[in-house]
Order: sequence, then C-alpha cells, then structure tokens
Amino acid sequence: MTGTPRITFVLVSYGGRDLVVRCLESLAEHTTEPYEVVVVDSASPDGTGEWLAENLTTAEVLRMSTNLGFGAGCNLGVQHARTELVCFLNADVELTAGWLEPLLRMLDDNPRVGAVAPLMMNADGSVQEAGSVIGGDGWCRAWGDGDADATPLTFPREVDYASAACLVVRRRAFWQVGGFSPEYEIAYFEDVDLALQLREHGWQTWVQPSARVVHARHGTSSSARATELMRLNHGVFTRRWPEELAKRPPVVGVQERPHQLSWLRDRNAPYRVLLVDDRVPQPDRGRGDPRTMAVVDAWRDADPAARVTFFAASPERAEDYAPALRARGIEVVYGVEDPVRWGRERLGLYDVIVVFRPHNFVALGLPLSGTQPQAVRVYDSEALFHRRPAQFFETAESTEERRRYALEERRLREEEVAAFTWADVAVCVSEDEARWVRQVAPGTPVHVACYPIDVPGDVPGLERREGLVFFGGFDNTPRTPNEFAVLELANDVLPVLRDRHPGLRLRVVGADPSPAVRALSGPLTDVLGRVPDPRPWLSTGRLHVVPMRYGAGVKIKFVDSMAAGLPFVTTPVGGEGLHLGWTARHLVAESAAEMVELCDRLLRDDVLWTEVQQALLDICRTRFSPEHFRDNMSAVMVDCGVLPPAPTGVHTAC
Amino acid sequence: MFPQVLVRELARRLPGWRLSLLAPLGWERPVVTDGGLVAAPLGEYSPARVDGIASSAHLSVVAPTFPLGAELAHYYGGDRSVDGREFFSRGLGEGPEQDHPVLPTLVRVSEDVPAGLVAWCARQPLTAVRDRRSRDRLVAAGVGEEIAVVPNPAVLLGDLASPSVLVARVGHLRQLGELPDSEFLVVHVVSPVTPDLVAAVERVRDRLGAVEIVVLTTGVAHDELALPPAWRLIGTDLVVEDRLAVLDAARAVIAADEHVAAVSSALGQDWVLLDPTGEQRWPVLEFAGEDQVVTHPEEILSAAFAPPDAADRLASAQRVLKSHLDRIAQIAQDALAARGGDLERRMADLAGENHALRTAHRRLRERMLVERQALVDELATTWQEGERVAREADELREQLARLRAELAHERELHAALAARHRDALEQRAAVESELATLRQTKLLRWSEPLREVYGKIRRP
Repeated sequence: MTGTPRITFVLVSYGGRDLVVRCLESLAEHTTEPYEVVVVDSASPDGTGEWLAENLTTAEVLRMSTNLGFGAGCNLGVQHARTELVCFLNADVELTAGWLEPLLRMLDDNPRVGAVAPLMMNADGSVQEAGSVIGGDGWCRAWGDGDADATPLTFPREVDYASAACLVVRRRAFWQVGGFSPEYEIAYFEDVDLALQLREHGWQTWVQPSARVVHARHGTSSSARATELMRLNHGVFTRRWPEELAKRPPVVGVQERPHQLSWLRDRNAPYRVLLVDDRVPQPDRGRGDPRTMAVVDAWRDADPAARVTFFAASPERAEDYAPALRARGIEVVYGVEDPVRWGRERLGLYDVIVVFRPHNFVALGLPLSGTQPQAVRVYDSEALFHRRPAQFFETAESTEERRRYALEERRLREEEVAAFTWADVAVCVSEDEARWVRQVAPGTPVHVACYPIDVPGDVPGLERREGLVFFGGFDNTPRTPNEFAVLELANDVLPVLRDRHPGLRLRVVGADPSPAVRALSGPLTDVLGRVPDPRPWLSTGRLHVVPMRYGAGVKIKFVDSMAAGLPFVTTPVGGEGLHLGWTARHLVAESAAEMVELCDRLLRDDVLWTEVQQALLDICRTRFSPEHFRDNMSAVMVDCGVLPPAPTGVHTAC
Repeated sequence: MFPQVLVRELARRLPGWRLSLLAPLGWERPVVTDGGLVAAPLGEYSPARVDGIASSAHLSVVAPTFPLGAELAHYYGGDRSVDGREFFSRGLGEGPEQDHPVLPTLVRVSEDVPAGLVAWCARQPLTAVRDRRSRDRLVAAGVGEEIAVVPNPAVLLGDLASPSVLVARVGHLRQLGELPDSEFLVVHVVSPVTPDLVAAVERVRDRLGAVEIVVLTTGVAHDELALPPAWRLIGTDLVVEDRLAVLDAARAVIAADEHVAAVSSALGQDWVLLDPTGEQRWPVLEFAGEDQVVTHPEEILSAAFAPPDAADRLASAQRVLKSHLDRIAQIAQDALAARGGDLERRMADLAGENHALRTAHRRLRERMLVERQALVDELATTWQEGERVAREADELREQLARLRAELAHERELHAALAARHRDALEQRAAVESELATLRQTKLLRWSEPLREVYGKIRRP
C-alpha cells in the first residue's frame, strides 16, 4: 500500500472505542488503496477520545470539547483531510474484501457523481439499504430494507440519498456545498440534507452495489435516543427543504400506494424507459439479441442517470446474462407471473415503453402500457414477422401446411399492424420495412435503426483465409430458417462446389445447433456450435455462404461478416436491407445453381474478391457504424421527447 | 480560487470543451487548502512531457498565483525539490507551440525576468498580466507593448460559493468556536504582527464598536505570528469556501495581499489593503483606488474602507476581465481550427444538438398538449356530468319541496279529518253515554198510577 493517498476515512466516535478499533482493523484488512484516517471524538463521556488520542498511531485523532454530533464531527474531520476523496465511516460498519475499488471506479468514470455508497447489508445477510428515498413528509425509506435476496438491486443507480454510515464523497463537492449543515442536532438527517445540497449544486449521489459492507444499525446509540434525535432533526429537515418536499409523495403509508415508491426511487432520472423483449439479451447467441442489446445500450448510454428497465418475458438463461446488464446500470426484470400487477406497482412511472416483436406486444406491451398511460409507446419491430410464414407458404408442399402458414401470416400481420398503429414511434431495421409500416400505420413516425458494428483497423485480406463459413444460431430447434439454410448449403451447393474445389472446408458457427445440423459434421465440415466471439472465424474464412430462404429484416450475421471483411453469398432474402449496391450481382443468388456459380467465382477470382471486400467494408463503415446507429437512435429518443446524448468535447489545459 | 474561477468562466465560454488542471506537484502533493480540487502533476520539464501536454490539448493557459520566474521551491518546497520551473519561464518551446498556444495570462512577473519568458511571450497571440508593474518589467525585458493588464480573477467570484453555503460554513466555524458569535474584524496577515499593526487595528476596532478580531493568515507559521491574546486566529489551513465565508461574514477586512482584497471587493465587503512592501498594491489598483491602499499601519484608520466608487470600479474591472476571457475563448477556437479541428463541423454538431433539443422539446410539448387536452376533455366531461347532476339535484330538491308541501297539506287535511273524527267519536260517545244513562234510568211514567187504577177498574 504505497503511493499518494487519494482517500481519507473520517470516523466520528462517541464512546465505543472497541468499535472504532475493530473498524480500523477491518479497514486495514480490506483496503488495498493507500489512505489516511481522521478520527473525531465527539467528547465521549467514557474516555474514548483520550484513549484513542493516546493509542491510535495510524490515524489523526481530533477531540471536540463538547458533543456536537456527527455532522460537526465530520466537518471537522474533512477540515483536516487533504485527499481528493473522503469517506465517512461509522464505527459499526464492517468492511468486506474488495469493497472500495468499485466505489472509486464509479467516481473516476462518472465526473458528475459527487458521492457514492456501497450496498449496506444487515449482519444476517439481508439488505439494509440500497440507497434511500425521501418522501414529501420528510421521512425517508431505505430501498430494499429487509430483502433476503439482493440480486434484483445489484445495478448501480443514482439515489435520493445514501447513508453516511459509509459514503465516499469528493472533497471538492463536499466543500462546494458547505459540508454537513450545522443546523442539525447530534445525528440523523444531516446526510439526507447533504445529498440534497449536492444535487442542488449539480452533483449526483449513487449506490454501487458491487461494493458491500455490513452495518450494525445504532451501534453507538440507543434506539430510544435515536428516535428522539430523528424527530428533532426531521423538523429541521422539513423546515430547510419545503420546496423540494412539496414535489414528492409522502412515504408514511406508502405501502398502500406502492407505485409512489417507484416514483420516489426514480424521480431524479432524466428519463425512465421500459424495454420489453423475449428474454434477457444473449448477444452471443444471435436470434436478434445482438441488436436488442445494441438498442438497450443506446438507451443506457444516452444518460448514465436514466432509469433503464429491461423486462424479459422469459427467464431463459437470465441468471447468466442479467449480471452483465446490471453491472451497466440496467435494471433487469424476469420471472414475473402477473405483468399487470407488476405494472400497477409502477403505475405512471415510465416516460417511454419500448416493445420488441409482435408476440410481446400482444402478451406484454398492451397490458403493461395500460399501467403506463403517460408513456410514449415505441414499437421496435426487429423484423416484420408476418413475412416469414408468407415465405413458408410459398414453399409449403401440403394444403394443410399452406393453410396453417396463411393463417399465421394473417394473425401476425394483424398483430403487427396493431402494434405499429398503437405506437407513438416505430422503429424498423431497414428502409424496405419502414415503407410498409408507413403504409399500414400512416399516423406513426417511423425510424430506421439497424445494428452498430465497429470495423477493426486491420481487417485481414486474402492471406490466411480459407474455406467456407456458415454463421447463424439454431436455437436447438428443427425447421428454423438457419437450419433450412445450412441444409441447403450442405445438400445442394456444397457437393457441386467441392467438385470444382476439392477439399473445400465448411465451418458451421452458431449457438445451439439442432440434431440435423450436428449431423453434418464430417471430415470436411466442422460444426463448431456457440463460440464466445465469432470474429476469429469470420476473419479467417474465404467466403460466407448462407442460402437463406426464410427471414425478414436485416440479418445481423451479414453485418458481422462485412465488418470482418468476409464476402458472403446469399439469397435476396438474406441480402435485404444491406445496401449492397453493385456488389449484389456477385453476392445474391436466386437458386442453388446460381449460388454455386457466384461462390465459385469468388473462390477463384482474387481481384474480384478483394474489390468486393473493400466495397463491403465501405458499406459497413457508412451504413452500420456505431456513429450511424447512435444518430438513428438519438432521433428515436428525440421523437420520444428524450434529450439525446451530448456531443463529445475538445480539450484545453489550465 | 484562481483555477475555480478560470475553469468556470472558460467552460461557460467554451461549451463542450474539456478543461484539465495541471500544477507543479498536482495530486502528488494533496494539501488541505486545495479543497479537493484535482490537478495533474506537471512533472519534469522534458521534451516528452512538453509534447504530451501539447498533443493532449488545443490550448494551454498558464495562470499561477506566484510570479513567473519565481523559484517554485519557495511556494511548494519544504523538504522536496520541485520540477517544472521552466513551464513558467519558457512555455512549452517553439516547436510544440506552433499549433498549441500557451498563454501566460493573469500572471505577475518577478523582478528578474527570465530570459525564456520574453521569447515565450513573443510567440503568443495574447499575454496578460494582472498588474502594471509586471507589464513594465516585461516591456523593459524586451516584450512588445501589446501586453494586456487584467484584474485578479477573484473579482468574478460570483456564484463560486452560494450565500447559503457561506452561511453554513460560518455556522460550522462558529459551532467549533473558530469564529466568534459576535461581529468581528478580519485582519489578514502574511508576516509576523507588529506593535504598529496591533495599535492600528485596535483603533479600527474602537471605531467599529464592540467587534472581535479574527486573524486570517497566508504563508506564515502560527508560532511566528506574535498575536495579542485577545485576537483569535482562525485555522491556517482553510479551504476556499471557508476563507470566503470568513471574509463575507466580517464587519470589515484589513487585507494583506491582492487575493484577499479582490475577494473582499467581489463580496461587497468593506476593506483596506495594508501593503508595506509596495508589491501588492499594483494588482489591487486594477480593481480599486489608491484610497483603499495604505503602506503603514497608522494609515489604516484614515483609509477608505468603502469608497463611494467601489462598485463602479469593481464593475469596470469585471468588464475588462470578461472581455479578456472572451479573447482566450476565441484563441482556443482558432487553435482548434489551426490543428485541423473542423470549426464548421463543430458548429454543425452544436447546431445538430440544438436542433435535437428543440425537437425533443417540441415533442414533449406536443405530448404535454395532447395530455393536457385529454385532461381538459376529462374535466369538461366531468363538469358536464356535474352540471347534469346538479340540475337533477335541483329538480329533486324542487320535487322534494313540492312533496313536502303536499305532505304538509295532507297532514293538515289529515289533522282536520282526525279532529272531525275525534268530534264524531266524542259525539257518539256522548250519545252512547246518554243512551246508556237513559237505559239505566228507571222511568216512572206519570200516567202509570192512572193506568193501574184503570186496570184495576177493568179487572174487577
């Protein structure tokens, strides 16, 4: 633990010297950052101050002549601090391994955050406080108090206030607001006041649940005394903040109006958006999830303090994928049995509700939006689902099948028309689909936002590339569009192609291959299944071939392929929305025979291959760049009345 | 306070720009008085460091409180050597400054003007000092006369600390016993207190009435101060907010340097500068008059603590300073353009953002209007419903009144009928009673004796 300290721990004692000693031991054990300590004794009647002054060698001990209480003690402690940050720490707080780093990271990454607190736990493992809300009656309520399972709370967020039992504050911010107000008695409410002062000066207070500490409440004060102090200081608090409190519902009796608790929790968020889709996005498994994730990210990135809630219809693999979202400050909700009841508990909360895919619109979007009548409604189609049964209808062989597809197509079409008509703002992934939407829902503004991808600076050329790649998820289900495609490739295209290019290898990359796909595995065909990152495979293949007969919207696999500099050959369905321009005549085939010819040419003609690769990279950089996507999503947000992200700045030094 | 004011003012003029602070020791030597303001260490003056600074920003503004050319160890020293003096005497050098202006601004210049400083100033589009003596020194050293003289930035203190914060800080300092509860005079000292000063301050105290004396220090050790016992020394390591709070709450201030004088002026405080060295007066004269500056303690009592033109002088100084900051912002924009930064693109970005904000605002307003209209429609429906209900209620009330009247009439009739009935009953009872009486009465017919006689006659 060497180097210049950047944090000073400030402890205020009133008796309880053993607690102070234990706390300092816990601090030493679990804190790897260099730090300094100031202990302020608030005139302990039991000699604690004297003892600490004589025996503490690792801390500066200050002694007040009268018991002025927590706020005054903290102020005095900070007057003696010289570091960038100070941490107010109650002696009855027990620290845990790695507790400080997430808090420091939060402050380093978010210049508007002035104070940050860990998740406060009870000794029995239940939640004590994940930040608190302040009611219009001036009383406060700890968020999550008593919850046995902290998991749903484990996303960092801005809070009304966080207890100064353990609170890291920028010293600059602390002084800017004048420190703890001297108007309060001994203890309670001075930290609530500090948080409001910070907000008034443009600073935010956050809770970072990646950091956890255990707090034994009222460790140095009797409960009766605590109640009396609370009553006194509550009076001071309500007198100091009448205007602020007038805007809030009360917390006393709020259990009868649970939706008001959610209002209080999220009242500081610049916007509140609820996104509803099939499952917690699994970006490495395809099925439209990479794009869903990109849309969720756009809403998240536009303002770190916004409330972004993701509602998953299915709990499928939620426990695996939700933590990453929560770490980014996204509230993840899944396993809800009664969505309407859930919505009523948040009645009137959200500014925007975004629903993906028609079945979610019917099952969740309509009932949930009924509980959010004030929200701007966004329908994000991801693809036009009714087109897929229409495509199956074209190739169905039996009357029964055709009838089934016709009915499904009609049902989905009606649902999609209803969804786009219901929406205040619509989002499509391609201009072709947007045109259809404008026809069926002329009153709804339609945006196109496809998918963002970064083109790396060093896309490999022809060197070290070989063989064919098929990329797409299979959902471990027969008769999916990707299964049809890979089977057509294996049965109708590859044999002829291998006649011309003996030994031509095929790698099938994609999550959850179905039995029919796994059966393709052989000496020249590798079925790789899910890979953590498809880019190494896309960067080493010579050609990506997907004879895709069924599908709608832009197929993300081809955008990934373009970004990796891997030319592809596909069908008109596969090439839709990709802005292929002149390259389409080399990449898009109607039949298997035509596909063989296009593949053959790209396997033989290095010059053509290189020209196509460069053209695809250019398309990717202009049409699918993160900047392009961000601009498109900004337009969606603006249409929802949400302020877009501020442009990035330039630099000067003083 | 310099960096706080400068950063705030430049950030207001350069929206979207990132401003970073650099200092000789920066975060490697955190001190209580920095108030938690974080600056990166300037480090050693080396080609790599110079290039690093030049490439990481479009413009540097060099604005130390100490004079350019001064020995840094005097200000930062103690027991360690301080690198980077050249940053304050040579700039970044000709090469790096070709597309990266390094503006010496709001500076003072030491008596011995460093040789490199002249060349550095000559390379810059703008050099500004905060006193005429510094300008004269630069001119004498060979810098052209195009040197701006600009007041101490503390005159633009403005909202650096809000009144409520100053009140809270004073409350806390009083709570700790560092400030008296009663009125007080602040005496700022930068060297040991002399008997002359003590006597002069006591005379001021006599004139002000019952005030206590609070001593604020800069750069002088506590044990060297030699304070009279009745004078109260406030902590030597005060952050900016506390210094401002003390000065703001004082009845009057006897300043010992330009900074305390500038802050007092900006706070609208009564103040006078005691400047025995003759060095501090020069920057002070850029925002105040000669009558607020004295050389000897015995002149304090006769100095003008609150001259009538103080507000005008302050306003004039603020105008000069604002205009200077505008020029720095313009140079920053020019530097951005000179380094290939596309000003038009930046303007387009800002215009785009402005458009987006307006659109978002319009959408919100549209939505608000729709919601408001829906709400008003609901209200209108409710009102109509209410009026209908009121009408029905009136009708019902009328009906009720009518029914009540009818009822009263019926009751009257009923009462009359009952009375008649009662009368009839009474009559009947009377008749029946009479009848019964009659029936129970033994009648003796007057003719009966005759009849009996007659009968006897007939019945012989």
